[in-house]
Amino acid sequence: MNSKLTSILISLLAFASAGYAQLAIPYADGSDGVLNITSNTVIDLSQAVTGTWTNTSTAPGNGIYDPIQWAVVFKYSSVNIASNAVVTFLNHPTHAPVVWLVSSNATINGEVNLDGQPSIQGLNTGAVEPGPGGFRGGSSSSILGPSGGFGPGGGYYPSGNGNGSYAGSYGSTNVLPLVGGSGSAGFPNSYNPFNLNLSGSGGGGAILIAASGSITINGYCHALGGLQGSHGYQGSGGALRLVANKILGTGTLATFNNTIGGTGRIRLEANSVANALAINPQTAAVLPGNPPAIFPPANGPIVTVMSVAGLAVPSDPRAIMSANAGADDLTIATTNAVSILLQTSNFPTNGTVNVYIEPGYGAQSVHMASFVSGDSNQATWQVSTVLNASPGHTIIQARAVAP
Amino acid sequence: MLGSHTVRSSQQYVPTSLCFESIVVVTLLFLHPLLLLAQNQDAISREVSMFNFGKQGLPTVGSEAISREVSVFNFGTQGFPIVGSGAISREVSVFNFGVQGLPVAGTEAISREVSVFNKGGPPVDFTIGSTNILGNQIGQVPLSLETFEVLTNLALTLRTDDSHIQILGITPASSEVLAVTLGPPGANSHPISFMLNPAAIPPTNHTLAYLNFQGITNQGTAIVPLTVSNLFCGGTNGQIVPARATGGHVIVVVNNPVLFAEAKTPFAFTLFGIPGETYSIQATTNLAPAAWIEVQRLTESGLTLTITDLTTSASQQFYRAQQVGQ
Repeated sequence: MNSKLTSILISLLAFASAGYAQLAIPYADGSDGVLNITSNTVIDLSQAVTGTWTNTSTAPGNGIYDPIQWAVVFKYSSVNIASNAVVTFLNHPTHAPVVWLVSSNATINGEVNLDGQPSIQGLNTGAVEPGPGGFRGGSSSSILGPSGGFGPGGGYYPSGNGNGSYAGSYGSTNVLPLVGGSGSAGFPNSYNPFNLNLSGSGGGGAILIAASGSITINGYCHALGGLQGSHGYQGSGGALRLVANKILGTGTLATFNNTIGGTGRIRLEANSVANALAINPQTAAVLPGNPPAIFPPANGPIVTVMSVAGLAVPSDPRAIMSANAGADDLTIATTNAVSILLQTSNFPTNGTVNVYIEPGYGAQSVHMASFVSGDSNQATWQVSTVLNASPGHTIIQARAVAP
Repeated sequence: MLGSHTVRSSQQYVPTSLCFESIVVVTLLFLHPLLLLAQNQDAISREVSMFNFGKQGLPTVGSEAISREVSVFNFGTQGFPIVGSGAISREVSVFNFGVQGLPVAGTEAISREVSVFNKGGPPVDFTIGSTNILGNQIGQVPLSLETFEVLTNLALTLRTDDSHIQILGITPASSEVLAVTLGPPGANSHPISFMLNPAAIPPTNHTLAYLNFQGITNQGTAIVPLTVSNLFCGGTNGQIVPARATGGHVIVVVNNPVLFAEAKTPFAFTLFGIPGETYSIQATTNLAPAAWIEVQRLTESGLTLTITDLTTSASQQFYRAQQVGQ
């Protein structure tokens, strides 16, 4: 937990900082005002106004939900979180991650908590919430069996690892795109040697804090996987990405708590970083871009689930699994295999496109999509498989990896 | 300064202590073409003396030179001065698109999560309910619809036993029913047609209408089937939407009671009888020959009576009910 950057790196970055002043954070216009937290506060991400992140905030303090970037973007003029004050988040319905663009300085003397929710003991718990930007933990049912955790690194038991994973499974070290950790598996008593019905736990969330001045961490900023409870499984850690001219303080940054859950990612981009910070897992700071990249470039690779069984997927899918009919992104009725069409952009046709099929109850399966047509600019891929015909919910997600 | 090379000539060496910077002198003889004599085949040129100063043109002192020492530190391409003993370069991302030459922009993409609910069968479920009546009573059963499709019409043929019940009509029960028609009956068959407002169809299982009927008393007790054939569902574009029908039944009690097993543990069943009548519940473990033993005697207060907690250690047990008076 006390991993620290090496003094060599600090020295180099300290030198480099001599040549820099404020960073030019794109679109950090301060339109969400000052974030000044003096007591425990829950930021309700569902209050964000849907729009384009480059615009000014029309509901100051509530942020902008950009469905293209899949992020809730706040544009604060400054951030100050007092000691003993804890900031937590209520998820946006899409579970989008959080971006704070700060036009001056951000000081966290208290706590910023993006942890996944812990395992729940009980029957038919439903999926367990992640931190914003993370993926849900699996359900638990003594009748329907265990459910794997959601996300590309979702855990599953009895086969495989019940804990969620992130670093080493998906995503990138530069935390672009901004995405959190995967959930862990449900663990019902029919499989559990301790005769407990336990849900999975949520993956840790993801946040980008980009400040033109300094980010000072004297408190605790963390995006940990949801805790396992008694004898359950743990979600994986999420992602913290800090971008500033200077990253200061003596506090702690963590996406891993040295327990059974998978390790998350931490990315520091600054001209100088304090060596007194405790960082877990350890990471190497890098100099910031000019200007820093907030989201992946427009010419970066993209993969999208386009249709299932001939039904077009909404442009802003919410992946809701609800008892209410029609709440899912799509409703189908078939016991036969269905065709899932995917589209890649800026992606080579000799790459690998895997489709993760995660039923509401049951094991996650991974299917390699077949190239259908197109080129590296835009291509169509396909998978054919049976979706949870019990009846039930299924979450579909794709991951494209270039060779 | 010549550089860092030591230069030698004619096996003569210049003491290095005297020659930090020096040059080499070389005398050469050669025939200059401009000095050839035209009258003779043989010609000898004038002697020409020539110093080779290389490019420096400095006078020769001795025959050897040793350069000054020069220190070189390689910063690679960055040329920064040394601060400390280590350095970490800027990160460089390289994305190899092979032969396709796309810009560098990462190697991985993850899609949004998409949720799909699969009903697990055809997109339309049409269900006829069940009920029980006394022989002379009017009754009704629900006709239920569950679909996420946009339907404009739904038609079916109801098949039943007209000797035990008389079909009276259909009563709409949901706002999407624009019109319902009960067509001319055939032999134990009744065509039913619905016109629907697709925009008003709830996505949940709901009662579309009620089928009304009356029991016929000049027949005995019966379990009258209500089944569906020729189910047709039409969509907004005129397409046929696949559908599934589940039938029901009507228990018409005229004289004898009817027993229906319940899915319960311990075993239980429901007795459909005549209110106010007393029934002897009897059991036997064998039918050949039967040895009926009364296990309970009950008076029916309503149309049904549920008998529970029927336990036995035998491998099989049969039950019957006899009307024993009021």
